[in-house]
Amino acid sequence: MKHFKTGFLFFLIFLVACSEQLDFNQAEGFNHSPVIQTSLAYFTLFPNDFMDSVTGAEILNGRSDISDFRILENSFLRDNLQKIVIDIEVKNEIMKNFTALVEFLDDNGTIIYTFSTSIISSQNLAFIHQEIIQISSNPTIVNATKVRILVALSSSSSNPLIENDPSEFEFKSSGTYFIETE
Amino acid sequence: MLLTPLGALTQNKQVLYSFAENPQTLLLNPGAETNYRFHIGVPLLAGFSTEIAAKNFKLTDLFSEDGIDFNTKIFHLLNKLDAEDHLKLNMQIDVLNAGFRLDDKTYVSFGFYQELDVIGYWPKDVVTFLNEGNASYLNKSFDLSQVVYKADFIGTLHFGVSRKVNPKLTLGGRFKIYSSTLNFETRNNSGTITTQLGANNIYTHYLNTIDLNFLSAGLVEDNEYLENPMDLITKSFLGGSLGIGLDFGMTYHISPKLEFTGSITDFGYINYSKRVQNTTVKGDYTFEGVNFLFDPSNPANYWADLNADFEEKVPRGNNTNSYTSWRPAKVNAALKYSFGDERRSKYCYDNTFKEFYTDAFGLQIHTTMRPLRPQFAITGFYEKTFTEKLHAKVTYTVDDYSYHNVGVGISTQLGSVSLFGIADNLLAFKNLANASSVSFQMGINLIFD
Repeated sequence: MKHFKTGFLFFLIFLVACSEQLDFNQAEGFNHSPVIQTSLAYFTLFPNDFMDSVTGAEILNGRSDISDFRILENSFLRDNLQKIVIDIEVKNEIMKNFTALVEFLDDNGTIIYTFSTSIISSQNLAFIHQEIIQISSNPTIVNATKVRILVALSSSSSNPLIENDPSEFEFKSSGTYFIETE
Repeated sequence: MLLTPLGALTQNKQVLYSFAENPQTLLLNPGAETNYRFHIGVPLLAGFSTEIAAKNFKLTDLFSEDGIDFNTKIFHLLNKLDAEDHLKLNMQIDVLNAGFRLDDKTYVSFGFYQELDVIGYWPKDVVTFLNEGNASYLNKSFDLSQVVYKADFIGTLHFGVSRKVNPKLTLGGRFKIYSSTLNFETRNNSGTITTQLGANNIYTHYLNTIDLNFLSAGLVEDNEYLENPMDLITKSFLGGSLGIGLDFGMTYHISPKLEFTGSITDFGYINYSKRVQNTTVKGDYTFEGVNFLFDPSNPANYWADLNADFEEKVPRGNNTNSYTSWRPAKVNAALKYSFGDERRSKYCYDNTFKEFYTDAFGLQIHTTMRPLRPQFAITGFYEKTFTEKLHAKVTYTVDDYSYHNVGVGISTQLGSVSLFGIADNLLAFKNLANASSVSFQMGINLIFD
């Protein structure tokens, strides 16, 4: 009988196991908000790039290039993106003022978001521009599949371009994507 | 073919080890002494064990009703966990277990058990990257080698012999044939993802020495998933990917009261060859952004070029190559000192007697080879024999999960029916949600003296 009691005592230990009340519904309040930073386009242009190679005249409508921009095709990003911040840094050694225009286009070539920098003054070696795109205000931006950048001489500039001038117009950009899931 | 050790998982069955000459102890030490003529386990009930454990994590960390914001709790948890923390699940069921005495000195045992093992290490850097992104981590190298996991469903057919070499020494060995019907694992990964301030652009992103291997066997064949999940169970009897293993063990009586036991189990491997589907990613890449060339006469497709360049330098591939993975070898050792009343128990198989003591205490160590480092546990124990038919063992274990793990086991015999029940981490029973590990073991065997 004594041993029966001992055994019973041990099994009683198993039976008295308990657990505090847990609330798994708290997981519904989980807020996941990564911020991803990536490089975008970069390039370097010279005075010659803005001069007609035959006549030497200034190219008044500027220089542009375009690339596919497929980041926003990612469904997770499309569904949860809150904000995009585009940062632009320019080092302008050329004795001319410029502006840069950035256009986001959809698959049909329709411009769905555009912004331009303020005047990038000559000899401004540390020009910065930040464009904040709130998705709630610009929901169509997530349809962007192409980006076009146009760099144009500013009309406010009177200094003539000098052929074969090695001065550079150096353009850098990055995108910061603010994501939030619930 | 890959041949890499990946210690997976197993339970440290510190209470069962060398406990009451139970038939199940032969699976932990084939050199354990037995004191009966033959035994047969009740099918599916001969031995059942389950363990769930999480290093450095408890359910209460996240789900207590404490009024703390869930995201704050997540934040604290993510800061607390590191790449050696892990979650594991182990279940083992003895489908068949039997043994018989071949002669006075030799006991033969055999059987078949199924085991589910799951372990996943905490890939801290990857989780940080996914959860917070890279914006706050300029210059940090996110380490992809932290991605380590393994899940296995295995049937093991085994045959063992224990032999009393002399009155002091018993040696034993067991041969195992493993049959795995399901395996997922990834290990020996390498690579880092780093974002730094760039020269040509604002940032430069580096993928350095990327070498990732995601291996699987049993689930996918010709891009089609396994249709009948029951195949995982039915084919575990020699119908899966096969492997072999060996157990060794010994019992040595240093003196009538002092006994040393030791074993190495699951020294073996499995060659995963059935329904294999592996994915690999390998290479280095540096990304500065898209370099616009402003050349209208020769317009570039930058995005397509970028994709092609990336796929060339960081190729991803699928293959069906078989791969080999070592089983997690385990080492057990124990020193036991017996004392108390001296009693005699009949060796019924030859009508001789064995002397034993009613009390014993000692020290055990357990080591399991794991992917990142061996995992150690040290156990102090006290064993009490109330009668020839009723034994109890209490253990205190220090391991990765707890510094105060108290376990208890009872083994009794009613007629020819031998039962044992074991529970670990008893102090956690008052609040299981606040436990880092919980394990249970039980078994019913028929023992014939």
